[in-house]
Amino acid sequence: MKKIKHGQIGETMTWIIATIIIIVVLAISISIASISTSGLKRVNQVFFQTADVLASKSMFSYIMTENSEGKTIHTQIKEEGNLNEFNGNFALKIFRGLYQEEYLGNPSNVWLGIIVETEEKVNGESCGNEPEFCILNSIENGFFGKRPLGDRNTEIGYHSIPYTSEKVKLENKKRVELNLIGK
Amino acid sequence: MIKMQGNKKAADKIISVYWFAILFIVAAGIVFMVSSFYGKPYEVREIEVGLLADKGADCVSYAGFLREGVLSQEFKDSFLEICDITFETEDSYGWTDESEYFLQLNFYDFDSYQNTNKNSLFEASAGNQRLQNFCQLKGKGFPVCLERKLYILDKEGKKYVVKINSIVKKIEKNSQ
Repeated sequence: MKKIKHGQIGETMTWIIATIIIIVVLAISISIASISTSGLKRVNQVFFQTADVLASKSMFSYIMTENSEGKTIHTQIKEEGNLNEFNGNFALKIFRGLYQEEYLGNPSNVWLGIIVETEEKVNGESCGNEPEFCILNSIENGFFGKRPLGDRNTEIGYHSIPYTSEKVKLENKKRVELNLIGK
Repeated sequence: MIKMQGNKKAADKIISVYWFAILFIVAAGIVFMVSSFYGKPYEVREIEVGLLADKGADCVSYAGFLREGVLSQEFKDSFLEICDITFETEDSYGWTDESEYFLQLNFYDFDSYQNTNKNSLFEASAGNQRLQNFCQLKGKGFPVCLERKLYILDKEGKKYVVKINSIVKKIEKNSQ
């Protein structure tokens, strides 16, 4: 009889300890869940940003700006193949002046220049129907320097870092591009 | 022997009640954890101020040029109607008493914009002006403010910088 009583006490203790363990584990889980969600569930624009509407509009206005001879910047770049003294300095004033602060305050995060599309992939093969794999050559200029995303890269390759780009076509395989990196 | 069997049956009953109790405790814990995560609202005001600024930019600029009639008294007077913007909110937390939004467009001459004492050439605004006072303050319980700039040309080739200020309050639903 005494043995049975001892057995019952032992079994009861096991259950009590098991209950305490379950409650402790549950309490820890709840407190972790509460702490991890104590901050706000923030959804900011960078999550979805693939374009900067204001920079894009500024880019169009820039391209349409005329010099003292009445020639638009679009025509100037198309004829000369790169930025000149007038449109290069003007681009610095607009894009670094108005947007650098928003893009981590880093001047090299704002780049404007000429991109030339090629028809070959990194392995030398033709990119054919896969334009995202075509190598894009960027032309260095004296105002924004080298393209920070790499002067020879593919559209796919650029997306390893967050950036938005605004493009204006010059001729068949050439375009002016504004790159804004990070935020 | 019969008494022993009776004791075992009673113990089994107690254990099954115990298991039900544990099941309810665990279920309640899971429900609490899930609701504490999914029950909190998303803070979307940063997106809202961005969209408001984009909408303001769209309203004044088209294909690189200033839209016709923007720098006029009529635009100033009917800013929201012309831009097709509504500041309506749901009727909760007293949001209908005072606007939860503010949008302001300031036009500056591009060449003198860098000067410290630049003067705005034209200004149009709508919404709750008082919200501007909170923009210097950072924290959960304050309105979200955004200031963006836009370069724009008019048809005569005059260059402007447009400073767009957009503010969204909606503290009650977004920063609990």
